[in-house]
Amino acid sequence: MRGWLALWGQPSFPAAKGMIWMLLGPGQPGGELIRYVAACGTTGSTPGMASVDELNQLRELDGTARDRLFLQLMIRHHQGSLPMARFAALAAEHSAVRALAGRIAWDQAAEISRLAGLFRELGGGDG
Amino acid sequence: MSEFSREKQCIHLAAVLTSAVAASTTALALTACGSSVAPFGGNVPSQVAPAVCGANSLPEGSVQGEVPLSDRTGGRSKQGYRCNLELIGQYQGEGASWVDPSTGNCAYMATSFYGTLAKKSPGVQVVDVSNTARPVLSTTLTSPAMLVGPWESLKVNEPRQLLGAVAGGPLVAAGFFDVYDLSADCTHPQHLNGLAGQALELPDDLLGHEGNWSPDGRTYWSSGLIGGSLTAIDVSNPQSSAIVWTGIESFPVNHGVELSDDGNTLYLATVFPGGVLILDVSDIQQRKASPTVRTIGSVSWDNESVAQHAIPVSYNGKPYLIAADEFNAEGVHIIDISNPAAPVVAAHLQLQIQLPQYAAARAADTAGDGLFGYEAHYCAVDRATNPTALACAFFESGIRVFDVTDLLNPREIAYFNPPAQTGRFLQLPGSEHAAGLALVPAVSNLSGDVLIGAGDYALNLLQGNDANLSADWCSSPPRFVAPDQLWVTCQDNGFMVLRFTNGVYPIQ
Repeated sequence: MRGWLALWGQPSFPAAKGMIWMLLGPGQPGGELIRYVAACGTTGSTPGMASVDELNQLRELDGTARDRLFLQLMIRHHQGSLPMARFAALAAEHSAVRALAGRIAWDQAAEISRLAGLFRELGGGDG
Repeated sequence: MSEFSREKQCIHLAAVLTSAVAASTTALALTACGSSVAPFGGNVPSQVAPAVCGANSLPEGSVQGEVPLSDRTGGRSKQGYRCNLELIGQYQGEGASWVDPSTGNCAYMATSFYGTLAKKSPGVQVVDVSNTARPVLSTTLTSPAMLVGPWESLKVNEPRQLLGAVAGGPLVAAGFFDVYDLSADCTHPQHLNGLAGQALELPDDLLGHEGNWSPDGRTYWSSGLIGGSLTAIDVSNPQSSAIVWTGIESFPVNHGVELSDDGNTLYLATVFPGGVLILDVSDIQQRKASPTVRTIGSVSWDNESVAQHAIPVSYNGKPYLIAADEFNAEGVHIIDISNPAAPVVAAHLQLQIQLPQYAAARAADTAGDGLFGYEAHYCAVDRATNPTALACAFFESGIRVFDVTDLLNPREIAYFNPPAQTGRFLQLPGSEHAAGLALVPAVSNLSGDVLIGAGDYALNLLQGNDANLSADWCSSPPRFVAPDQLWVTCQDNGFMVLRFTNGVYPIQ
């Protein structure tokens, strides 16, 4: 993705923060999309990102507790990426970008399933 | 030895890296070889007018910066070379490593990982310079990062009087960050962050090789070289230092870190190509909840070189970077960052011996004296706003000082290349030159044949050759100490107090 942006002469991160750009797709935005954009607010951060405190908590834990927290944070992170990936899979202009976004959505969904399974095996319930 | 290829240079780095870390690093290093970025080929002048040496000088030969082969084999280099600088005090100890800062009346000599077992006095040496004529060892610092060697990460933050470093070990190490308080007594630093009860542990996502403080001393940035690892450590409360951000910048390899006065902009030296990446780190400086690092701009000059660090300065409000490069005789680049999104190399500072026509002499002179020949490494200015003088450590060319009142037309005013410590290999286990990267061929001339390059390494490693120490390695940032001193540390000669002579500094 950075390679494409470099070839197009674009920065790796947009100058404007927030996810308002996702409302510019074809057609009326659906409920999931509107909720997602609202949740992102104006911080430029997607929902589900681990906070600095959570990452340091992860570093401090040991053993199964560390594994469980990792799985929880990663499931939440992946879930936060799905609306954006689904949106781009449908609405991106270039077919290569649509294809990549579709694959990201597919892979992240599959990984969420796997992470949730590992979390259950560690006695963490349904995550 | 003068006809090396780009491919060989890539093997050079791969071999060095793999000696210290996993074999997978070879692939990382080699990926740098495929770059298609055009080398910098501008029309800016490069050679700097040599110093005119006054009374009591002991000048070098006819080529600026050179220690000729005949001086090395005939013993002349053991007297050293000086021009408008004189030595007034020295603490040699057991030698020093790459970057050795000083503050107040104290100097800190980092140590080589490779010499750890042989050292009588382990860890970082604290030198009391209360009497500049007789600097003495005060104590040693032996917390984890200091003990295994901080590589290029040992740095002082002046406003908060903190000394910090990450573990560098054999080239790159993981997990340890040590911070000391100098405010009560810089000759006896107090360790503030023990391992217990803090978030830094081994192994973690902190890789150590280079590093530096934000100017306010609240953040220590560690760049891990491999993979472009970059980590920000919150040192607001040193006793509970914690990572606030970690990421990848300048893949596959990054290097030294310098920051703008406000701490919002980070100037990251890059490797393969040698250059500078300008990053917006304001989210981290301002401790935003989910910080992002954004690229503002970048510039590069040589696909085969290794930028070391880039100092921000300004002249009447116009901002520049002064960037030293430690490979391929690149010297120092002056970069105009008036538009940080499109930085421009405005001047190129090379010693005469670094010019292309002296490639054969470089190879002949420096053969057998380790990885670095006549390369630049670390520089310092006398002040960041409207600086008048720039002092740089140039490995085997010693300490070089330039008048930079006209930054784009610098001229040399003084140099001091300390006496070669030929034959004193066993007395200097703290020196990387003597104990560390002595086995590998020089990086001054990078073009030739990949198989020959690999063969050179195999031969050196099999023979276990020691560096011949026919010239010292000066690699640490000099420090201007008012009114007329320059405090420096070279790897074999250790800490030295120098004084300008013949009225060349302060610059009127």
